[in-house]
Amino acid sequence: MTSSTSLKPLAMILPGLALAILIIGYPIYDLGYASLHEVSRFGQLRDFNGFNNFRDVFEDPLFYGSLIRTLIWTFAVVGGTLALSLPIAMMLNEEFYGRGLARVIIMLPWSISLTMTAVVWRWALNGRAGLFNATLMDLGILKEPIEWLGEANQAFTVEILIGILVSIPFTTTIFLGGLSALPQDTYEAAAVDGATRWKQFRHITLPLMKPFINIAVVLNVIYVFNSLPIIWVMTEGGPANGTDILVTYLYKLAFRFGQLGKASAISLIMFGVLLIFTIIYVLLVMRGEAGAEAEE
Amino acid sequence: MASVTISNVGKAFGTMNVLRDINIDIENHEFVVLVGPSGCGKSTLLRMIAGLETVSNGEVRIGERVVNDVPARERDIAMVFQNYALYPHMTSYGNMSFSLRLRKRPQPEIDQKVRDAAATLNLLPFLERSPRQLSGGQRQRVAMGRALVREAQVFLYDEPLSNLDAKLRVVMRTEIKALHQRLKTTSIYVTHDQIEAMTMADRIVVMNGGRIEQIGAPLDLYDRPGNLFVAGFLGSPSMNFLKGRMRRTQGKAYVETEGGIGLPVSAATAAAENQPVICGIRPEHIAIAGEGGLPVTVDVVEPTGPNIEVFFSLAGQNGSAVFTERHKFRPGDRVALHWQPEHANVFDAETGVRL
Amino acid sequence: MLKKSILFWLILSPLVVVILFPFGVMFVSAFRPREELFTYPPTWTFSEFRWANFAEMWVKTNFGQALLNSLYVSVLSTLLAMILSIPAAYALSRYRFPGKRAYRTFLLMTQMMSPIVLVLGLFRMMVALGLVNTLNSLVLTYAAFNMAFTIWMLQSYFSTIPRDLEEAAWIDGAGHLTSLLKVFLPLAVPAMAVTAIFGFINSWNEFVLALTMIRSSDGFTLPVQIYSQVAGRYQIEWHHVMAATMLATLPVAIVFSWLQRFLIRGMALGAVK
Repeated sequence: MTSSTSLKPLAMILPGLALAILIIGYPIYDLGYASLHEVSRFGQLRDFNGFNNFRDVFEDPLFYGSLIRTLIWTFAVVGGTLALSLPIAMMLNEEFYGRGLARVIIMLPWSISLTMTAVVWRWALNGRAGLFNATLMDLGILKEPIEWLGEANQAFTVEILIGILVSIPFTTTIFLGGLSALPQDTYEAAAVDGATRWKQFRHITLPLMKPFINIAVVLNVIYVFNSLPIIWVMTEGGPANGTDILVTYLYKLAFRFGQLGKASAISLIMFGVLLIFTIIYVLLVMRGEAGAEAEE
Repeated sequence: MASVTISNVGKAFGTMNVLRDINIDIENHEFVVLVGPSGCGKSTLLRMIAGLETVSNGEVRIGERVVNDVPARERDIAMVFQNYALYPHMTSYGNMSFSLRLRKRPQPEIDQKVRDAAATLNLLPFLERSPRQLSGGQRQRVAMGRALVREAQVFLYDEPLSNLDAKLRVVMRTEIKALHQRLKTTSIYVTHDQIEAMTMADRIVVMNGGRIEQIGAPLDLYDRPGNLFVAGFLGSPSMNFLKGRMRRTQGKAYVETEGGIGLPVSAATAAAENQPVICGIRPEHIAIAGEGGLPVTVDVVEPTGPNIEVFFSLAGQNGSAVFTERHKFRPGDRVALHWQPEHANVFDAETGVRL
Repeated sequence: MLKKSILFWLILSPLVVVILFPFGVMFVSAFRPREELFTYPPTWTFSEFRWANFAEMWVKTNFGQALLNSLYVSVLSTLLAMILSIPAAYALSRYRFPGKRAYRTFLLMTQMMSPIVLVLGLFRMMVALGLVNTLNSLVLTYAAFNMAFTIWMLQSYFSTIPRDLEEAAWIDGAGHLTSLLKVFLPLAVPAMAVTAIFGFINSWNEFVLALTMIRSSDGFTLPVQIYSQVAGRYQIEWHHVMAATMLATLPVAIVFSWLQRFLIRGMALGAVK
């Protein structure tokens, strides 16, 4: 290859790369710098103060509460999503009447902004006038309306369920992509060998789907861990910080209370966690590609 | 039309040498087939002639012009791709006229040339169809048509028939050959199929592992293969290789196998007494002996229709013979065989070179 | 087949109900007269389709301005992302070059970086650039965050367009530019359109950055404008909010439903593999 042909692809990726580095790279640097300094309410950097911001974070009981709820939130939403999405994807992968419609309906929550979904649910769950209570009362399940978002634990549970609902489409899509790539003759061979449907699932589908399950887990962990709108719109982390997770707490610190140094420190901590999951994801993808190349 | 000269050409991908020291002189009007197992570098060589791969060292000339640094579009060549590479968003007409439109030829001329080519290839009823509405054979013809309208200096074919079924392949093979006999455009044809090579080529270039094993006219290579690789690659069923040592008595030469059986070979062979050699004999040259032939045991009998192929063992080595007569052999039968000494080839057991 | 279909629909029905439930709520609340919103006990019935709700909402919530803002930001950010992504995706699918592996890793990593973790740093950067409270700050950030997805998606589609089509064009006498314009692009247009629409929907729905960068209400995009109708208010005009939500989501939901099979195909092609 002459030098001109290897310069051309570099020239083609460069403009996009420059924008990505500016918009994504620079803020990381800035957060790192700010987290080690005292920052005024108005964003001016004062003196270098070592790890004071980090110490403040680790001495803050609200941080630990948010951290624990973040873990619960992430595990519950991701776990629930995966448990529901695999059977759904397997059903949507089979032929049945109205499959096209079923696919459209199940993908629907993906198309709608989380903000809008949360606004509608907030209204639907309204204690006095919400149609959720109306439905349950019409069905005779409830006698009295319930104020679903009035109490922290209950509100948090509801938010987790909605989190699951909106994560299903994306996860199902990954699984459908995987299922459509499974070789049909393997199932025919297994059926000839006398495997029951459960055994086919256990010994063929599950192992072959493993790479897709891994990727769905990691991607969902990353997305859910970072998801602000549902909790922010429905309860703003309240009542009494009872539904705060790290992202909502971070947002409040930065843009409500003006504690920019501390907020930078939390951002960096979260960035570190995210980086670990991202590296896992990159390794999973690269391993998948190495496998695909070896097959060729 | 032009000659193509390939001198000392090599190709390296990184540190991997996929082609070394390739020298071929292709004359004007000649039909040359590059044949070899997959991965031997034949397609890479063709793509270098086309200008789709850079030349790492050596020189490629089309006519008198060195084209190493000439881009594909200025080489005045036409190429038929393995997967046809038809433009899916254009009709057959669009595909065939594309190169002429790029060259801004006047519309009546384009029309005339496309229709002529389409008539030659029996494509006239399909000109307005898009590639996905065509059968495999028709797509193949459109790909040919695209090359035909060009009236290029050289035609390059990259395994053009490998996606067709067996019957269609035979038909297209004959058509391409007939076309070449009419147009006489210099053609270079890559295939892994030795029958295509044998039937179509003026000259065959047998390649293996990035090198040329032998160049020659089909029947020359078939009758006098330069080494074991060429001998084994050309011909189906392939040549029998029987190991032994060279012996000469009373002006006759034979190869003595381990069990002491003497395989007749030509006395003109250059092998020395007692040298370890391999006797190569084609299955169709073996006949049933009346008296005192070579004793073999029949293992498997496969009737193919025109022939009967008999797999046998001879002194612990395996071989096969092809008969047109309807012999009624059964597995386990003991049969005596013989062949004319001048039909047998003798190869050096170490180097594999024909002696 | 019929038995299986009934069984599958029965199993899926709870989920289908829960997914469609908010749409029902949106619909009923948007068309109801205001008085019927707070009847107790609450019911699904309503006396009339009050289209006037939409007209009132349009004025009261300044919906038109927010719609224009959302369109401006989504269209421009998608355009910018596509202009930068198409050559990059082409380079990834067609060339070997030094650092290709590192670049792909970088793309995967930026795909994972969420705006929320960087939001404080981004805000400070936009302040420094004097872009805070302008829609262009959103155009830049959305384009940057969407690019990983668009490049990834495009290159997996581009890789399905056989290379030998372009090679055939070169041999037919086309230069690189001609073969791109006449052979590659016509085949890539559907993939580019689909990718652009998904990028558009992402921008259209984004919340955190819009909430942070835009300080004055004339600049609000739709999600922020609707959020501002419910956040920190004593009296929320829910019929207006629901009418606005419906108007903002339905077109996107319809387009998305039509295109979702392409997304599955893109994933199967290698966005995930």
